[in-house]
Amino acid sequence: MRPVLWVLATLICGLLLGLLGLLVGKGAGELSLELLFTMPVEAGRAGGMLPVLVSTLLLVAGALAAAVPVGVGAALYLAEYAPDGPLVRWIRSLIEALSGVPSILFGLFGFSLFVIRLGWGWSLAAGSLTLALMLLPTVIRTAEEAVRAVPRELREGAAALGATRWEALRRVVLRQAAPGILTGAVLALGRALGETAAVLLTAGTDLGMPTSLMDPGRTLSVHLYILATEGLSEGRAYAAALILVTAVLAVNLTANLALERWRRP
Amino acid sequence: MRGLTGRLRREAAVHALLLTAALSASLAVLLIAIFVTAEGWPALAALPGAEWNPEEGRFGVRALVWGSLAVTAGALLLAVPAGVGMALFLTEVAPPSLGLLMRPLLQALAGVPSVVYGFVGLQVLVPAIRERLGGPGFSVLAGAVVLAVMILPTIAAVAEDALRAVPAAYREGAAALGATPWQIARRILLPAARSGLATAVVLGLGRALGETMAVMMVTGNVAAPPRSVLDPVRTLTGNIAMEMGYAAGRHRAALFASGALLLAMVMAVNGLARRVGR
Amino acid sequence: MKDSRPKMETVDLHVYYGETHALKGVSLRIPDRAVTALIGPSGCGKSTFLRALNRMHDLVPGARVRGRILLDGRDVRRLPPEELRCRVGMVFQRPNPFPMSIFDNVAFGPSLFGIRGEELEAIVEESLRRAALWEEVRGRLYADARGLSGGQQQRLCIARALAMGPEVLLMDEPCSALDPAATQAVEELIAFLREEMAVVLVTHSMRQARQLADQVAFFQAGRLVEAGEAAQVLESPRRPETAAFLAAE
Repeated sequence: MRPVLWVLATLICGLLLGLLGLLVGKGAGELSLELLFTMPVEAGRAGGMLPVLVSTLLLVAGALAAAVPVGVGAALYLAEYAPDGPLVRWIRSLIEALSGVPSILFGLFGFSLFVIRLGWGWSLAAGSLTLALMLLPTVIRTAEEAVRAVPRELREGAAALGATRWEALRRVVLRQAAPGILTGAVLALGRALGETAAVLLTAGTDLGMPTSLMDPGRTLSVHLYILATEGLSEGRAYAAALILVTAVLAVNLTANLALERWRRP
Repeated sequence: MRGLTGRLRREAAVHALLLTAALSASLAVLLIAIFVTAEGWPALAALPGAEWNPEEGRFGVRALVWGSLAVTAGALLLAVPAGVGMALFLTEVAPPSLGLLMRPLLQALAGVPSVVYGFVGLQVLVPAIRERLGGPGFSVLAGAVVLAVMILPTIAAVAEDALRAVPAAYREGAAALGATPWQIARRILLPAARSGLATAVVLGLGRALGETMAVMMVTGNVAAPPRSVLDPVRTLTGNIAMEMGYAAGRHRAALFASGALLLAMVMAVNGLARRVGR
Repeated sequence: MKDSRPKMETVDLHVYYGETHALKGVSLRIPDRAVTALIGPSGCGKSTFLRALNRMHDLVPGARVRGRILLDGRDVRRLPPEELRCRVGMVFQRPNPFPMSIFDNVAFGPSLFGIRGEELEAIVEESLRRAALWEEVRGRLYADARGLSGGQQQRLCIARALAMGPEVLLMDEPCSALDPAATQAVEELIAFLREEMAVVLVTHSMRQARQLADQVAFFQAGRLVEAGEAAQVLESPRRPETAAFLAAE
């Protein structure tokens, strides 16, 4: 059995390395400051990717700004306030169900609610809020784990001094759990960067430079999709893929390393 | 000076706020289900038809469902042995230091966005299939391979947990009787980890069904049931993504309805995963 | 012994952890300005009793408390627990300093009430002096409290509790994690504190009980077996179980 498994493992490692090698090989040559900081020309066949990068940053920032407070709040409730009982079990099941919903369905929901019914049209705001919903389970899960990991003695000590539950949370527990919570936010960031289907249906594909959150925008992942499927520029597509993968891998690696170190100090 | 009554009032307010956050997060999935179903309601009846042809007002999703199932089945055929094999490798064969290296690698694989997989599949896999095996290259096979790579890390991770949970005593007992590693794996470990492995498979199934971008980019655009793995197909998910941008009226409703169908399928699979894991 | 009204009192106190009946019908008076020592074998319920006094069991899901607990004659269940814990402080077996500076640890309680600035600094200094820690930390008040030694951390926790100005101080084997020198410092501290407040002290050390206690209560298997003046209970106990326990110690 051993040799077969070794071959398998090598193949799979080779996959990732091969993927990265391909992207670097064909995309690194296209990278330049001009690419990052100028406007696109001819629908992206030439010129730079500035509006795409700006849209991506705005969208992701907006999504995190919405998902982190709500997610951490929900996690705090589940970890510190929730009484045992059917209500809490329901809440947990529903949040777990949320994490299983395919991304295209988030896109449909966001399209129906934000783009159409609320009349926002294709917009970064619609994309951000839709994306925020997708990130909630990740944020909640890591934040809850971080809060639960705080030793009971600290909570007891605060309570014994007459602190209310929230005072103990805010002044003592959160301080201790902050690294873990932050890591959850970073993991969510990684997911947000890579998301395409939901963003496609809500933020649109407009290549212009967004001036507000209500403007439509094209994120990096959507840009890659369009460049690739419309055959506009192979070089630019590889560059976009390289930037995207580098960003996502860097973010995920940081978060996972931090989680490892924090789980086993 | 903040009196105790003020502090207790703030406590009550915060409690309510946090409860609201938790309730909102839990209502999200219900809202999604309700919206998607409501938008799709007018066209639900059209779904069971055999042909998807918006111009002629036909919104039957059977071919699309076949497409999704074909690609998913192919992906599972590839990813389950590979994933379980990977898990076996990590638990039984690899020295611990190698495991430390490989697990982040698998995590990294899992983190790569689906659109990147689709792009690489488009650039490398599709032409390769076209040249070596024939057909247009855009095919069930391409979709299955790309999907398999995407669900592999999930299957490997869950399978590894399941295998690690098998008590060392079983391994030692079998080894003491002179069994080879493969015999131990096949006759002792895999059966003992049965429910965990089943969970891994079902989780992979759920992810594969819901995947959109990568599959869309490599399977071509033909909304007809595939007759061979080299035929192009369109999946339920890809269909929605491709046409939503310009659909209107009944067409749009039909897309929502197909989304509701997809949601039902994925929820059923996830429910199965939970039951199987017990 | 004082015959005035006791500072705290329990009447037929029962505590259940789920199915386990941890404390069975304990009625005990805690006199003011005195040290009450709770002794008994491991698992006899003395810590459970202690924690009932400041309603720490409220924090444990599945714990139930029956019977009456009185502070100055009033049932503590009618107070908000936060208010109770401002008047009845607790020091735990293992020091549990918060992940913040020495100053912030001691200032924690008062700052919840919005006390700031010079007033807060004065409270912190006084509390650290009473805990016999001021001289050792005055130069590094803003250093992380976790950098202190075990004995210093425990004195810090005592200072932290004292900063609230409690009327009763509950101490759960406060010296068990400390070396002899630190133990002595804390015991001297307790001797001082008894002039100002009621101290309830769970201890495994008969020497400590003999040295510090005014009243001793012996627990066994969740029941209060015997309570009375320290000298009497420790030298000539009335109950055979007490005598057996003391002989074994």
